[in-house]
Amino acid sequence: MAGSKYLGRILLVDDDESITRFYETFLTAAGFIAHSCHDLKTAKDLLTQYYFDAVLLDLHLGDEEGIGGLPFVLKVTPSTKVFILTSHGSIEKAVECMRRGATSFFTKGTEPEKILAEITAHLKPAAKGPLLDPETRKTIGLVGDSPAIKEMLAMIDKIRNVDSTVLILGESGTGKEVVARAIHQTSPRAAEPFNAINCGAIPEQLLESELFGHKRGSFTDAKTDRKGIFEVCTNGTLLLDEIGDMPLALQTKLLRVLQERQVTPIGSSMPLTINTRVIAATHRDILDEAKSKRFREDLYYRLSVVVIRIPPLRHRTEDIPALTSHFLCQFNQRFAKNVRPPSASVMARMMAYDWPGNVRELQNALERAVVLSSDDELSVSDIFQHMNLRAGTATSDETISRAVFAMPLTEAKQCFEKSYLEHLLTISGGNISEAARISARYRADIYRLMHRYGFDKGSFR
Amino acid sequence: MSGGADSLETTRSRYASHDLLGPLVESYIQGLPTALGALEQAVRAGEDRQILRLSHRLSGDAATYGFAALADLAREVELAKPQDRRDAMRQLKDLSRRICRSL
Repeated sequence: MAGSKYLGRILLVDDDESITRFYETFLTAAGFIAHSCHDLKTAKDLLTQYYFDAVLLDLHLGDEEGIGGLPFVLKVTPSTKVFILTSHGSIEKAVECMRRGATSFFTKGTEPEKILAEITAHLKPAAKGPLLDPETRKTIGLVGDSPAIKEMLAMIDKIRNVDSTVLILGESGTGKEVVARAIHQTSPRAAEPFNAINCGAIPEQLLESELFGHKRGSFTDAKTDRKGIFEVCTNGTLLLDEIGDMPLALQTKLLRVLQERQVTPIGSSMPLTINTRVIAATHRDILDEAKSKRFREDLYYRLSVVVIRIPPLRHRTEDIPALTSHFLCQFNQRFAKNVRPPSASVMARMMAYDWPGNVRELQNALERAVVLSSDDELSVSDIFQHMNLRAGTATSDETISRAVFAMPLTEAKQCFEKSYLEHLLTISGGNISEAARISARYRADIYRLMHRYGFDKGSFR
Repeated sequence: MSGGADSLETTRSRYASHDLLGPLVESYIQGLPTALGALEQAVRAGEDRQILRLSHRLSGDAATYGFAALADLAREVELAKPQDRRDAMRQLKDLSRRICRSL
């Protein structure tokens, strides 16, 4: 089935290697890029490195329950479709998974052709017009009617027939991938694949191979030819997330690809013509990075043909009620609860808060509050539990919180970031995966911050 | 004749002639004696947890690789009461041997 049309990227999670090998062989030949892993920890790492269109998740992962990975997938990449793989004896649990947000389930022994057909049917983009109707916006998580959001939607609409490179800027947690997906869905490329890769979370050598592909034997682990993401995503849209963290050497190669519309796989001398629309995103001040020579200025200008700035949540607090209602609906469904919308006084408190972690922080806070709620009411203490935890750790934190208001903004942000990281590492006992989970960031982000602020994880154990 | 056909059906994977999956099925059959050996040892030693784990895995593998009858027998071992396990195990081993011989 060589030369099959690219169908998407799929993650196969089963503790049994012979099962993942079976599906990996079949689905790769059918046109998927398939990744396999055998435990939830590795699955979570992969999910923070790549965007997966689908996950095939076994219910029994040795001593772990596969169902435990479901909330993570739904939180990190809500548009990823999760398919449960189960034996005949666990159908009840598989049905429970669907209630919690899985798309479908298969019993082991289902013909791979049927599995392939069902997965691809769920991945096909809905036949919708170019404009984002309210229902589509809700599905992809682009919620809100504030002037800032309206302005952004107008911009997305304006560029829907333009094939230019787009640079999305926004603080962490503002929803850069959601916006990239919206741009793709309104473009003439909507029926083609959308793919995303996190440039900051993948080691340099692997990132080059992921982007441009490689020929067999071009380096030690290159056992077969592999297409790069630019090639498999040709005619579609590729999101280069955290572009500001891309190593300089790769920036040079990326610039060449964007200029020449050609990629040369590692170990090959034959360039391949590609037609991939690139959207880049970063939480960094990329112009500042360019001025400091950490980011190529020419690449910045190449990427920033159209720039979309996503406002932080504190600049569009009027969207908090709509976002709250959207997430409440999701979490009530997922956790089989019936938690009511917050009272006016609770909402006022929520709207007064700054939400430095933006929509992601609001989402996490509501998820926690729904889980903790015992009487179907949302209380301030449940919603701001993460702040209570923080306040309870050390008086120095409280001192910092007062002192930051006298600092320049950049310094205040760094001060908060350092304090936040210190607290995070304290409560996680220096466990990076746990710290990444709590903060809803990539592990690579935690390592980078630790390096920046000189923290050693051993000192938190 | 029909008995022969039934026998062929239970010992031959439905993916045996599949271009891509056929070689994987062969490799699966080659690994079958090892998997059976580990399960048999657990049954002999009466290690409940290990029996459940290994028979569950064997059942899932067999179903995936297109050996429905083998999967059913492995599931019988998984669900059998301790006193019935050896008998279920014997049937499983018997079919497994016939599958290996058909390779």
